[in-house]
Amino acid sequence: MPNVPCGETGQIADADAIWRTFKNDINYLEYDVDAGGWRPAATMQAFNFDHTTHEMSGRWREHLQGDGWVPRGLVNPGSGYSLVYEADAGALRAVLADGDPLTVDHTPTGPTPPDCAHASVYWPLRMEETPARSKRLEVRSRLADLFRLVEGTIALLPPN
Amino acid sequence: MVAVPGEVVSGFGWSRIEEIVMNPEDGKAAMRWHSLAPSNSGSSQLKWPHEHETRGAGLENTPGPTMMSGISRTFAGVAFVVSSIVPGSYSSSMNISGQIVPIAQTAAEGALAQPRTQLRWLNYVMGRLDDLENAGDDLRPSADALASARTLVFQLLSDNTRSPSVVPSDNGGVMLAWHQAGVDLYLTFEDRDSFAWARQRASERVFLSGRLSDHHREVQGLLEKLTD
Repeated sequence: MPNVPCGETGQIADADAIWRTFKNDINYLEYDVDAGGWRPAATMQAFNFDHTTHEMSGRWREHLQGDGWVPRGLVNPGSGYSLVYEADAGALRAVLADGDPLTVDHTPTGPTPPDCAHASVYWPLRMEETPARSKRLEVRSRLADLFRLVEGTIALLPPN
Repeated sequence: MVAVPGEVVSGFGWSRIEEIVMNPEDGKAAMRWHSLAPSNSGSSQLKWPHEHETRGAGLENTPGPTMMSGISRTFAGVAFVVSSIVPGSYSSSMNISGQIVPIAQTAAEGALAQPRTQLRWLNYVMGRLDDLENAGDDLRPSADALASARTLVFQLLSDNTRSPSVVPSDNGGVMLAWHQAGVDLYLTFEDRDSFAWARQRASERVFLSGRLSDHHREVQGLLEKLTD
């Protein structure tokens, strides 16, 4: 059962997971030779943290599952966002940006699914701060490691 | 300017010179070359294969480096990989046009030792850079970033380097990414500078981070290993 009631903001348990949609598009993906498949690109386009709030949106898996949702429910075919990846909240929280952990919270934006399951991953920065290029790559590449595909098929051929 | 077999010259497009033939009687030369990405080329609209004549190019076929000069500039910034220079007669079809400029002394030095006759990554990388050039405003890198990428890949990637992923990056740049042999390597090309970043995936240890110009040889060495 969700550890944060519907409609309330709070920390998502480490064992729970975040679902996030990604664009099924070669401009948003990188090929991993070792894994033999595509992974989200370590770029702003794929892992878009808001410039002001330093927040990246996702959905709280357990909350949606409690309402009978499956990852496919998040797919918006018309938008190109046909891939759903998930990552454990605890693993995301273990990602360090300059020594400080990311924050993973339940941040509902509406009363019904999927808005009531909205989740936020926060980069631990002050409002005006912009992370250095190397830090951006470090965090985003780590995030790309953690997110695993749970919905959708990538038909792209490997770079050749 | 120097052109030798294997040398990569110039910047914005790409072609492979298969043969440069000169007529010793009048000093004119013809170049047979392949456009490696015929779908785009933008300014040149070239199809594969083509033969072109250099008029009064002053190409001197000498042992070692061959001097080329006086070539008019019509489709600017075409990149050539010289695979052979052959003395003999020439056939004429149209003016050679294209400023032939060595992109780096290192490329010429490498070519002297070992001709670069096959660049595994060339079609894919250049095709992707073209795609990005024609992408929408939200994805399209700046012209300078694309030009930088198109030039520097010739200096950095080995003939057999595996093709990287090519994606738009932050700040209107373009990023090349390899995830192979337990290493994540990113090369980022932006308007004013280029950057390299790499880590060992298992340990998450970042072992390369900074301006590309400060890590040129390290990146070259790494890319030599990122083959099959």
